[in-house]
Amino acid sequence: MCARDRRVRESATLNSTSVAPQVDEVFAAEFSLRAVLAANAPPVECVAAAIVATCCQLGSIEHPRGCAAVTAIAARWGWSALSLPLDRVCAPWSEFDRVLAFARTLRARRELIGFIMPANLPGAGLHEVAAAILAGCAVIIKTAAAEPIFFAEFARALAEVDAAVGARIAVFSWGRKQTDLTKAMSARCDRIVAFGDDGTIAQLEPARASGLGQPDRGLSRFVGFGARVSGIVVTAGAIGGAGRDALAETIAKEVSVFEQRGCLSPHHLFVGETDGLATRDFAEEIAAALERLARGPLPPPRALALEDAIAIRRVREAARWRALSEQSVRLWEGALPGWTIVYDRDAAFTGGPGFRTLTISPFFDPADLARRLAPVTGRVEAMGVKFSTADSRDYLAELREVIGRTGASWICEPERMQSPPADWPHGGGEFLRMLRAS
Amino acid sequence: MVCDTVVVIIYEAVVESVSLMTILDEVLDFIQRPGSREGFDALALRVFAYQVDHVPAYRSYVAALGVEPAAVRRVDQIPAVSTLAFKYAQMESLAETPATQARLFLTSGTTIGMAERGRHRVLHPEIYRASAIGHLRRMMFPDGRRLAMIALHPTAERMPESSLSQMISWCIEEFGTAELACVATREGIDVAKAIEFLRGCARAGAPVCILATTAACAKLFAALTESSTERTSRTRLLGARGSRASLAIVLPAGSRLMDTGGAKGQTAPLSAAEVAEQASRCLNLDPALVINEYGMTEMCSQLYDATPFNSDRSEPTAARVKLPPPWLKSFVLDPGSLRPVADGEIGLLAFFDLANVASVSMLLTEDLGVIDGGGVRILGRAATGDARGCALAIAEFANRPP
Repeated sequence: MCARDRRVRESATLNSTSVAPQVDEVFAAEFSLRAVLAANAPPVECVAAAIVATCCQLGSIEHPRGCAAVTAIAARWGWSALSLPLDRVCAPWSEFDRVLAFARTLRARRELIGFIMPANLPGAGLHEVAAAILAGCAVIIKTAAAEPIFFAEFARALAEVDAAVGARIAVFSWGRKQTDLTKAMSARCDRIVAFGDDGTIAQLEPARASGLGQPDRGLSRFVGFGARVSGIVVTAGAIGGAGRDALAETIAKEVSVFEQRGCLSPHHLFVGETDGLATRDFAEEIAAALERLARGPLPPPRALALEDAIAIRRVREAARWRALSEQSVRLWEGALPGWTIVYDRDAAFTGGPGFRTLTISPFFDPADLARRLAPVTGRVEAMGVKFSTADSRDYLAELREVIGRTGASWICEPERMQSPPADWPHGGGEFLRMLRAS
Repeated sequence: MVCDTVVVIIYEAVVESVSLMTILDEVLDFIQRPGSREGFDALALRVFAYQVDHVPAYRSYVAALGVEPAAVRRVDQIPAVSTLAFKYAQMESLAETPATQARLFLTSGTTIGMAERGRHRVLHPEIYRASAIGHLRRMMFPDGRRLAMIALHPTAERMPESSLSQMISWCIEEFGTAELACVATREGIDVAKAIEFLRGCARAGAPVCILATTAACAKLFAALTESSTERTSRTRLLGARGSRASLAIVLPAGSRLMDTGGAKGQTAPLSAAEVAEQASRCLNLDPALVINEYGMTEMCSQLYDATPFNSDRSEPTAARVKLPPPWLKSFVLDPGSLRPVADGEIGLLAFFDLANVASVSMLLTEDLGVIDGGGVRILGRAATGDARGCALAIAEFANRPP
């Protein structure tokens, strides 16, 4: 191992304690990774095996590495470790055959890709990192100062499992004010993949055209993953049968894990309405389930950041006062930091502040659902859908079309929302298309 | 049990004794002759009892919280009503038929995601006026002067639903001379006319008081800076030496500026320090006489920057605290528990405003702040986002230097 390799490797170790690198360390990482790219690439089977082995470690709370990672992140954030199910993040990368099959859909490329990771939840961006490495790329990952642990552990585990694959990743952590480091990384990578809100990404349009590495056959050198929202649709049939209690528990759990910090967490539940009261009754049952989870297996964070607590307060106060004067609104709430359910009969899709805040509304027919989903068309990441065999085929076909029109990149049963498959077209699939393009 | 019974009896006695005119008179008297803090607390509890009895929406809210009014013994135990409530509920005493002079003020409706406008019906504008004028006198006019006045925000006859407009009109009536101008309408401000008026005051040596939103100030400063730049360019072309001092409007000593509204309506908001610096550069104003006001439609009292002009405080402009009037008590609450935070900690600002006697006095704002001595440091609206996504890292990339 050359000196530069060691520095890159060591930087990953340092990052778990959030020590920012020097600019020359970022340059050294680039030098080292380009040298790795110039050498023979490991066979894709070896890369897939290394990623699977790594994700099996990180995704298992039984494994010392997975346990250590989740414990460290939970302690840092003041969360319950159980509300950070890394197994869901890692599951798509834990089955060798599937990962290898996915890898074979990618075009081999030798590029250095820089990732600017979000702070909202650990492992966000894993799909893109794993796909890039499977395609033969090397990656520099800048983790957020608030969550420097997951990818540092990922890099360390990958290097232990297969040194040749592990040599393709360097992980650093620095804060948003250290723009010299971000600039250095952006200048040295062939592409940048960044996670952020749509307004900020729009501001980056000029950056797409200049300053990011070498010309590249017309492919975008900047890929931004903007703010997206997710929701759940359940039919009247789905809450009319024996599975009603289990469904309420499932929805409460999906709202609780990751504290709704990711783009795959549901914020609004739409329920097929029959008698005018079914949705409100179901909302009350979900509230009860949230309270059980909060008091039992999934306690809420010990404390909330001021801005998060204020955002939740705002939602609650608006709902509280509307509920005092309107029959169409009801509020259920746990003691903060806890959970919040707002039943709003007339609401269109409403994004929430997270931390177990769910708006619940009825829909009366597919056209009504379409109207309620219209404001977020093009910004939906996942839609969880639960229906019943009692629902007619035509009705379900209509619902499918309505949900499809939102542009959701992942439509599945509610319990699978936060664990999309390896070939998930995150954010509309721009990055995946790029890795598959010739 | 005995204690509870005694409390209930005392509470009922208090409620019975609090007739409408009594409480209104008491509040008006307190505003005109502020009493001790103990006097404030006792009156505040009587006002609370009155409001629970006569404002049905507040009564429902207090009941929904499970608060027994008779058990409230301290002002900080009084349930605070979010200012959001004014969008959804009728927050006024139904103890009387609204007098003809009652006024309905609407919020500006600029809060992101809130299409509804808050409504505050002020049943007794004379109390509002006494409160506004009383604290204006202390904070903006402690020297007792009457001045020429210019409003860069519509006055009450042009925008009757705006509480700021009403306050500006009262200020002009009380502290203005015959020299006055309102250069704003609903459509915007006539900056050229403002500059003309201010130049006239400068020529006449008449000190002037500018009443404006911060956004209007920004427009005025931009126009003055622009005209300075143009004139400097022209002077250079003519070969003469440009002088910035000769291009600014040199307002006479004693001129002053009250700005309010902060970032509202501005794409690139001016900070308090920038307002003071630009007012000094463009208008020759003493920074101590550039005073920011904090108020809201839902509240009949206001807070103003403490400066060496109106107090014994002399913090740098960027670190100024705001002083409330004696009839307004400030609190900083934990947004989760709504209990007061420890001194010096940041939280949500709440106020008990006696002048709101005929609506709801204990208000929870959406602004962050911290108590600092006898003042309040306003830290602005909490930055919160509605949608969550993979959205928390990209700003650092966007902000990288070119």
